[in-house]
Amino acid sequence: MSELKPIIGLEVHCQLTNLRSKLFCSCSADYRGKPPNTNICPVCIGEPGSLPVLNREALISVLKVAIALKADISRFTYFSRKNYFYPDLPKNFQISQYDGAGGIPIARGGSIDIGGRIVRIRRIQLEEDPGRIVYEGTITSSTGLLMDYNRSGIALVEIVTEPDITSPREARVFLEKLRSLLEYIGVFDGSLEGAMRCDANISIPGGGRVEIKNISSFHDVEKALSFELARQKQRMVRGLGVIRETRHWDPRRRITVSLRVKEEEQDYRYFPEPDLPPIIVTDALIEEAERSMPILPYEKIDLYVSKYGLSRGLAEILVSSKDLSELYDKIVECYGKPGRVASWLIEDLLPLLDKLGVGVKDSKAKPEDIAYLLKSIDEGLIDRSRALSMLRSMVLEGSRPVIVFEHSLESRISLVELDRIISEVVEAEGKAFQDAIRNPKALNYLVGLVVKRCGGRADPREVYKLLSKKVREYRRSRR
Amino acid sequence: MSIRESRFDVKRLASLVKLRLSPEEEKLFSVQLSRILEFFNRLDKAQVDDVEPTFHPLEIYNVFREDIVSPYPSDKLLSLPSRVKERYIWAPRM
Amino acid sequence: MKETYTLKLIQEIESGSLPLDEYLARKAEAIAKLEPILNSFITVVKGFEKSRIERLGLLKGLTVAIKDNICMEGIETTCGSLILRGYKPSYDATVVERIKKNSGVITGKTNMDEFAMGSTTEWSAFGPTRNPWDPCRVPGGSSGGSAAAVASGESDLALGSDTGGSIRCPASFCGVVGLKPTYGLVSRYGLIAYANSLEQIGPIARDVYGCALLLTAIAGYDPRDSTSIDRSYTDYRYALIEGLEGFRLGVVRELLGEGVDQRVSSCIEESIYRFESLGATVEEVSIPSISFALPAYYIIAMAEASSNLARYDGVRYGMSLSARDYDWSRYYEDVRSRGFGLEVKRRIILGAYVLSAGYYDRYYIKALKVRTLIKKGFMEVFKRFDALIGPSMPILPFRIGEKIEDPLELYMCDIDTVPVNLAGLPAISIPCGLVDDLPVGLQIIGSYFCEDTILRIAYNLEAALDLRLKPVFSEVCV
Ligand SMILES: [Zn+2]
Repeated sequence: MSELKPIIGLEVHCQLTNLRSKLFCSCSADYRGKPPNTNICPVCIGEPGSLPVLNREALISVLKVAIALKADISRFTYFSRKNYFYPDLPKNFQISQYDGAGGIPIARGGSIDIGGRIVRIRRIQLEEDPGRIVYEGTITSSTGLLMDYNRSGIALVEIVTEPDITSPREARVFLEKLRSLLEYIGVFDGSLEGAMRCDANISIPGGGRVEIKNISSFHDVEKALSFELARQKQRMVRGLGVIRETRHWDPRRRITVSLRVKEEEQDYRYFPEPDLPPIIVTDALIEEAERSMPILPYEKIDLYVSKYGLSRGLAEILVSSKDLSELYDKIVECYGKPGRVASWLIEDLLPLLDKLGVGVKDSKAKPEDIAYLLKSIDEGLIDRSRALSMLRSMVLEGSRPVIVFEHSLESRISLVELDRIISEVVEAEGKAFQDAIRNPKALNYLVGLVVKRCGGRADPREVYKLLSKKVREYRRSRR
Repeated sequence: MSIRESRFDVKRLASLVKLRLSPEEEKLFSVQLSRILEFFNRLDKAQVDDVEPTFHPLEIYNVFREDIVSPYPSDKLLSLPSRVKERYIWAPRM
Repeated sequence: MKETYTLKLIQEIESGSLPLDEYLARKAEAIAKLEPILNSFITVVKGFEKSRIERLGLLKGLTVAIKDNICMEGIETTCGSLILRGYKPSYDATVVERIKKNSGVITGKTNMDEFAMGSTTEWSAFGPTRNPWDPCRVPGGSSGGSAAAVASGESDLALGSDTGGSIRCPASFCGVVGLKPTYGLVSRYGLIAYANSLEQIGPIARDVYGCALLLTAIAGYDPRDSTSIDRSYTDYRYALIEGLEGFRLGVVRELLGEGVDQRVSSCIEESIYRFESLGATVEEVSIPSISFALPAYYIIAMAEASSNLARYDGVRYGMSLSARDYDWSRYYEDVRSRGFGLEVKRRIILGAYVLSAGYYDRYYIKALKVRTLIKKGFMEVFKRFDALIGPSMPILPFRIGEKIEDPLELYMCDIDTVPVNLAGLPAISIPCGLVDDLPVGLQIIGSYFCEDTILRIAYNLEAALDLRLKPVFSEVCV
């Protein structure tokens, strides 16, 4: 059955959550948790006579998306009306964009690298979000719909891929990459409920293309596609064939359901929105978008590899989340040693956060404190398990790292062993020891080495005392 | 009647714009609308091959508003629908 | 300046010889007396005659009737359609705001063809408006209520909207002055859309002065309308001072082609002599692409309309049905099939057709290309002329019911008005004579934002003709 490799394309809708107001009116973009129909105005409820006016920041934001996805920006573009009736659409048309007769999307082309494989982008466009339907009663026994238009008119960027995805898992990886990219450029916050939604189309060789609508989180994308892939394979095996149709993802029953809509019956009659003048995307607009762009994940990976000498794999993990790479940058800024910081973050900090169920963003540990802790570990002032428990309270409570030795008496090294290590170090570091005889300040270097050799079980002050004693003894013996 | 007109399906078009025509309307419209389409076909004589379409009467571009929130008294809008339930606007079932 | 009706009225109100409360009371009386005959209004604003104005602004307390497709907060606004019955807008259209601010007194919402689709006002769900010159005849449309209200003196000023002639046609048929502004001069915010890329709100008055006055009050940039143009303030009354010496006028051949009533052309010709005697030069000119204007106009208007009118589904405002056991699609169909009249149904079906897959290029795009040709044709001609003239309507006001059966025949009546909407140009219709006691309108077309030029030409002709029109059914104050 492995021959039946699917071809998958995605149509992703992301709210531009960085905006303060809606796409075409001055209602707040912060609609979540508000009582129904309190965040509406004549424009977004489609009251007769009202007119849309484009939010400039929405245009800049979508240009940033296009730049981040390396897409070709259309220098001339406009909005089109997508005409269809549905209860969540207050005007019974959606102001959108279109790639075909009656439209020009803001950008075409571009790609995302999903770990060695390239998923090409077909188009990027700007459109308005519909309202929200609440069922009166249950879906099946519903006597009516309850409409809340608070969300109506929120700015959405639609990103459509080429059918380059070859497994449900890859679809999820793509969405994770996309999410992280959009978060990097500061136009999107994926932690907001319903901010990213997705339609997917999937086909297997010999079968018709099936469009799956209503996938409302990217965790569901993999589930919906897996279900649909299994369904299609089974039908092929049984010789039933797969018809071209639109299906609906039911997240509760975790199945896709046929919508019984023939695609040829849909005729959206796109035409240019007469109430909005076209847009000439000038150099100035593009420069404005570029100016507010941070360094992008793929650029950052290159930077980590070339400047810090990290392996590509390590760099990719660090860059996979904007918050993590920002934390990494700050720790390196305080402590240097990019390689050491990277491996420690990945080996110690991330598993701890994972165990605690805390996101990088929600951790209360300050980067400079983490740097101090790491330095103390490296200098042997604290051992790993102690450091981890300290890190735990830093993450959860924001406490400062306190490197003290008294409370670790039971694990302290015996004087005999310490003496042995000091002798070994002095022997190995003959030159440093000679320096220390001439210049007491140089003694600190040896103290560090000894403490490190002891794995944090030695009190540096005691080591200093012992080493000073050794120096005095040596001077005496030379007299 | 040319192929074009025979493909003019009043019923399908009406359903596209969510209208249900009475049998009389359907009869009346299929005659009238075909005649109007004949009249539209006068454009066939216009020489427009190299002409760009004019969507907007004036050549204006890049009209934007700043991203500023200005709330609207939404209660005014909730007095418009005939049925409102706990601030939700009622619509018929799916 | 010649003292025409509106100017005299203002002088009497300002001097106190016609106190404002008395003036408004007489307007209310006129409405009460004439409405049973004319049916100019769908809604009269209750108690408008009791309005008190602290400081008289530009409009000096003159009455203004508003076409029923322009939103006014809290006042039922129906567009002449059952589907919007009971709809009371939550806001004032920008023009309504400006009229209130300039101390105009709004008398009511005037009758119109449903959603402005028509040129007779017979397609109103609330019965036809009758022509004050002959109540058996149509007042023109779609702003028939506004023109009839002004002609009869029910209101002294009115707003109409002009998508393909809906101000100029009724102005011509009712013997009043109506101006369709350059696209973008007057805000469309609050104008219930029929065909967004073609229409403008404009003034209707008994004389050119009244038109200039009301245009001054409503014109100007509005950030709520993305197609509104930011230009400096103009007081159009100042355009009415100078004469016409040296003006170059073009008579557009295509506007006087076949189908134009001989009696109408004679009236236009007489006006041409007047213009020449006033020092203007008049020449014939041709814009061949105008011959394609009608089908192009109807394709574009219907396409936009089919989308604009989709929002009327009986959920958020206007008509609703009480039966509860409905699925949404059937409910929408029921509401729309009951709420829309025949002409609206025809246009939205055809509009859907010209935009549908496979026909988009053939009809819609082609119409937009023709639009380009027409626009270019006008621009070319405006290099040589200050303004263009022709009839507003090819025919005289006809009898109610005479043409209602044949939509195509009615469409043909718009032949002289639609080219201007396709190009976005300003045009004014002014009475230029009477034929068998029925008024004839002359149309003057200006270049972009040259409202001052066409007002000046119209004003000079008005003064020279001195027609002193008074329809049979009218109650005027001065
Ligand atoms: Zn809004």
